[in-house]
Amino acid sequence: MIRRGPKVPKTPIFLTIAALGVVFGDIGTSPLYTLKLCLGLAGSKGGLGDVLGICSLLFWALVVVVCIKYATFITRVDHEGEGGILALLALATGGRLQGTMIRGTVLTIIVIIGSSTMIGDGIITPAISVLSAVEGLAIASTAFEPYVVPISLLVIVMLFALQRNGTERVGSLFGPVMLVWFITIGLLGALAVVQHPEVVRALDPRYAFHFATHNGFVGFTILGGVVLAVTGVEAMYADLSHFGRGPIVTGWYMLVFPALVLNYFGQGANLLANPRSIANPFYALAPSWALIPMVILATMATVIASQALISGTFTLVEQAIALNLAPRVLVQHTSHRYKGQVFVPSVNRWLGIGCAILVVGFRSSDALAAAYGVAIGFTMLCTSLTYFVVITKVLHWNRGLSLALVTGFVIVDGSLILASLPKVVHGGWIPLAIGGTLVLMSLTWLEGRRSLTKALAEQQIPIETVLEKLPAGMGEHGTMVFLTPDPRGVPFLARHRWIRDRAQEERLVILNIARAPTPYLLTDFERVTVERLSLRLVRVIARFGYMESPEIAPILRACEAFGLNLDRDDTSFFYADPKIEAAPDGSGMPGWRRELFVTLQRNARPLPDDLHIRAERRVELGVTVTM
Amino acid sequence: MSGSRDARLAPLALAALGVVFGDIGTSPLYAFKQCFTAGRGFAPTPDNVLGILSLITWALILVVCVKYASVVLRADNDGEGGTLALLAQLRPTSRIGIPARLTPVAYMLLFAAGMVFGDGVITPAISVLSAVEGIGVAAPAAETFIVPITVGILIALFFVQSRGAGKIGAVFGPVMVLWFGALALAGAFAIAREPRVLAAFDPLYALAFIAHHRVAAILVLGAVVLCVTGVEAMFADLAHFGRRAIWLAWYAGVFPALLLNYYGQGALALADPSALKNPFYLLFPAWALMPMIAVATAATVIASQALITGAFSLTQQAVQLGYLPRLKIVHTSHEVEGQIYMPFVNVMLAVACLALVVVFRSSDKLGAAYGLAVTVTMLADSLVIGVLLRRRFGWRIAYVVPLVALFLTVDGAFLIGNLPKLPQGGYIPIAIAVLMFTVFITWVGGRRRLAMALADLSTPIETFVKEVDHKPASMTDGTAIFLTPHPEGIPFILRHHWLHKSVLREEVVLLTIVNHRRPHVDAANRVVVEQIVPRLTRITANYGFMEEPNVNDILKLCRSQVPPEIDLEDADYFLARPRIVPRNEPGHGFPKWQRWLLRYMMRNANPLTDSLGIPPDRIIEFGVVLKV
Repeated sequence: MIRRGPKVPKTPIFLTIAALGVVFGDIGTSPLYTLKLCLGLAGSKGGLGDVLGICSLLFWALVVVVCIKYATFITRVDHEGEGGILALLALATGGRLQGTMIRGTVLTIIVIIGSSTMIGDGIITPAISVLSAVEGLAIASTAFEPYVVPISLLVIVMLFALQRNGTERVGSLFGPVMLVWFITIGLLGALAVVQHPEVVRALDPRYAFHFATHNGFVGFTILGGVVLAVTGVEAMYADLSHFGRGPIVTGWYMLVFPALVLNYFGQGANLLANPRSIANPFYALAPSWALIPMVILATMATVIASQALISGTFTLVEQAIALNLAPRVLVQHTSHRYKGQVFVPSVNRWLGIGCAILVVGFRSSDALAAAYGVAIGFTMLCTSLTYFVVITKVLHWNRGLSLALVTGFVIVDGSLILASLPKVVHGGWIPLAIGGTLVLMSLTWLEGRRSLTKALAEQQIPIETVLEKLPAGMGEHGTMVFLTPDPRGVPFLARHRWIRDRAQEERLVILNIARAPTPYLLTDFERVTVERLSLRLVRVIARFGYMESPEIAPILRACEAFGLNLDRDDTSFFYADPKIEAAPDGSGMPGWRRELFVTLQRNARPLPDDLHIRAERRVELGVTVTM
Repeated sequence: MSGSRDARLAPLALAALGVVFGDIGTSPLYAFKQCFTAGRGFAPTPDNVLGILSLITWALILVVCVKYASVVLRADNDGEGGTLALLAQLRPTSRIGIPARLTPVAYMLLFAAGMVFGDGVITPAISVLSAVEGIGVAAPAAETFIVPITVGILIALFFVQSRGAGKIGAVFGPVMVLWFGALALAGAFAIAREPRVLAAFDPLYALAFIAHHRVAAILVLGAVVLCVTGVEAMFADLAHFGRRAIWLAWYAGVFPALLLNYYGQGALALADPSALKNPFYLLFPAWALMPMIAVATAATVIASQALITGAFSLTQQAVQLGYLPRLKIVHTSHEVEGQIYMPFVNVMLAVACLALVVVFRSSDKLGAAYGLAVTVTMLADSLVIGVLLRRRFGWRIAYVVPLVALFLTVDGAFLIGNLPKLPQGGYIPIAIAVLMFTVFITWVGGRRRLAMALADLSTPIETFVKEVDHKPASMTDGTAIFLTPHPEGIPFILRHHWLHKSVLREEVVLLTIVNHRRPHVDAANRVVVEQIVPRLTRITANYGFMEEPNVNDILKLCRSQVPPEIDLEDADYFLARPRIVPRNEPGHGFPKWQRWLLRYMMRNANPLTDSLGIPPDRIIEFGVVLKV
């Protein structure tokens, strides 16, 4: 099968470096705050036992979650090269997706929860990373302290304001900057480890186990801090299609993993030598002359990490829209070279506002770290569960082995969730609340669209009936194109007298836009089906993959080839403007959810906008729908 | 009309106690106390107590009795009061169907209307909070429950709005009688024990206080203004009660009760300066405290209810006058007209109100955010009143200028006194007002631009008729009703290539709904039917800003006047569906954010066809590109 994903540079080494900037930004900037938070949670002063325990926990968290779970297993399953939890859903439901919508099954709900919690935690990522980097200034000189929040805010605002222009031009710098970053933090860590080599004993998992089990409840909640070391691991999977599994795994083992472990251990070693460094163990690694350059490098790295997160969210939303899990919004393609580069203005706006509020509200990375990482456990858990369905139902792996493997994953994910629960009161409710709201919106949208499509289809007249009644002849006055979610009938004729009258004299085209269960489709031939049902009546079905934006151009081309010119002023496109009312018998959605759906529906981008049909050629018809 | 008003005067006045005077009537809970904590605080010396009391007395007399009761209440718009009704009187309509350009006075009044919303958010929060704070006096241990209880009461209050909380309005009056009675009684007892407090009636005390404290005295004005917050309601609710009922309630009930109570609090402060911790509740004997907290809570809930209802009607007025997009309105009562509930406004008020309670946590702190917006509204009213007195009542300049100057002096002093509140929370109502103001002007300006762009696309009737005459007449298919905002020319959609050939075979009715700047329009002038040429009829429907247009009513009224071949009941409705694009020439169009806001509002406005009651399955909307 030909891979039709974004075009990528050819040489693997180049790919690996590029992946550093996109895939490992988030996980690579975690050393800025993770160890500090863990020490804080443990109430530790930096004694040998605590340092070894925490370093051991961090190391084994990276091994289990990143090396074993993601690098070895999860990334192996892709959907025509596309990764991420939504691709898993498309893969799992692939056979049934053709032409119809995803159903609100348990699996769908799990995937919705996973994606929503990912965004819930994702909003914190830019805020915490940028804040923690800029806080280095306060280490350099306390005079800078009052400026940490304003500077962070400025960086965040600039970051979001610049999204509109796309990141293509500066994107090529991301990889090299992250390369410098990883080498630097690895070297700084190594220097400290050499001075206190006993920290290497933390490689022994018994320290981790001992620390987690012998400190009572506190030892367990430490995991809520450790999870920060692996936030962002989902990016390894979500960005699979951009780089391919090879470069990602290579980048991880060759550079990122060693650098992270050295840095965490270095922070620990430095703490043993110099207990005062507990105030900011990361920056304490750098010699004082290197502090300001280090702050600048860290800020660049965190900006790159945030950038990767923002782009990732855009892609996630684009996929969710295509799978009908989210209302349509404007999606702009910012790059002609890379298909996957998108900009979603509304998502950018809300992310930006959310991040700015978090920076102003929490004011420090410590405070934010207390809220961070609560939702990510849910994302990992949902990925594990969906993964299980895919490997057993679609890939037909051995059931027993799969079960054992996924049970292992679930135990890890579950303990991360449990350990994070105490954070809920410290602000952890924020990502959960955001995630919960998104879940609610997504489910309401999915369910609402399904009932709406069904109700609209019920009001259609079956094509056979129409064909019987339609007068003979070509139809000469013009062309009426009906947009319909269900290509088996003709909409509007039943209810609208005026349309019925007009339809006596015109050519009729039924146009159905369907989403295919693959990321990309190959040719116009594969994309558009034109059927001439009679002299007057034509049915057009156009399919778009879940990584593509629907547009009218290929449809017009295909119709042209059929001798049907739709790009004329006497062609009008008719579509429904549903007016949603409560079902009289009280069945259907509860009132508040219907209201929510109506609001989403109102603010969703109309399909003709997405298709770029000229406004003068559109006719909107009111349709009453009960649900 | 006036006869029936006479018989109903007493019950009306009783009802007005709750609705009109709820806000101003619950101010004793926190206003007097605030005066002593304003700025750096004032020691409760006899001079200060008497001076502040004197300021309160004369603020009530000048602002409420003189300005609002005697002058502003006369500036009604056909019985309708309120800032927006004032604005409606001032604004001329240029071309029918195209909103007029905003004048500076209109900008000012719109900002003032935004301020009404800004303060409206604080009122329920501060009054309920201050009532519940009585618990802290009764049992200091219970203090931690003050905020949760307040939040609970407010949530319940906003929650019951959808059930038509206005319906229980009948019990409001008696509760408020109880409240004002208790205020007066408690005040009278305290005065009897310390009669020298009555000396504060002498304005010299107020002047002496100002002379002594100079700049600091200005700060006290920021607290004194809390005594008169809510005075706007006298004007805003004019239409519901009429001037006479409001006067009766004020002079026979509210004014004496308020004076007695403030003086009673003053007497208490003279006798025992430590009572300033909560001078209101300490007026009552210990056994009366819990019942009083209950009554006070009920009174503040009533005041908040009045405010919420007021916000609904203000919003509705703004919608009808074209300053806000149409919002969903639910009529909660079949018997009483004007009992409305607006879900969106309710949710917004509730969120803002609860956020204020949770963030500020005490009425003292909220008091610091409160009042600034009121003074701006009062100032705007004063300026407009001057213009109106001159233009509408033909007063001589020699009378108008001194009177307005007096008002402006009082309002100006209050405004300056309130400015120091800005950083402590005063920016909140200002921010809300600025937000509302932006929404107002974007909507007015956007609609104006849309209407002009649409008008540019219409054809003069003569041209159109000539064109049509050349076409062969064919059979009549049915009736097409075109909704068009301005009653001149032929709407663009008739020129739409597609409609041109098909619709012209039908009976065409052009329907224009004109919103007038009066509250009501005579039933006799409601519809005007005019046959332009055979098969082309124009219907113009006239509505006031307190009336809701409905297409069924219009059609019923027209039935006898239109030719029988027009089938109004079974007609299709054709509308324009604007798609907003930027104007090409730079400097003339809306800035990008404003276009975004306009689009957002248009998307989320309740569709016109909904509020007109047009069956959805008859609606056909044609896309049109409009430059804004």
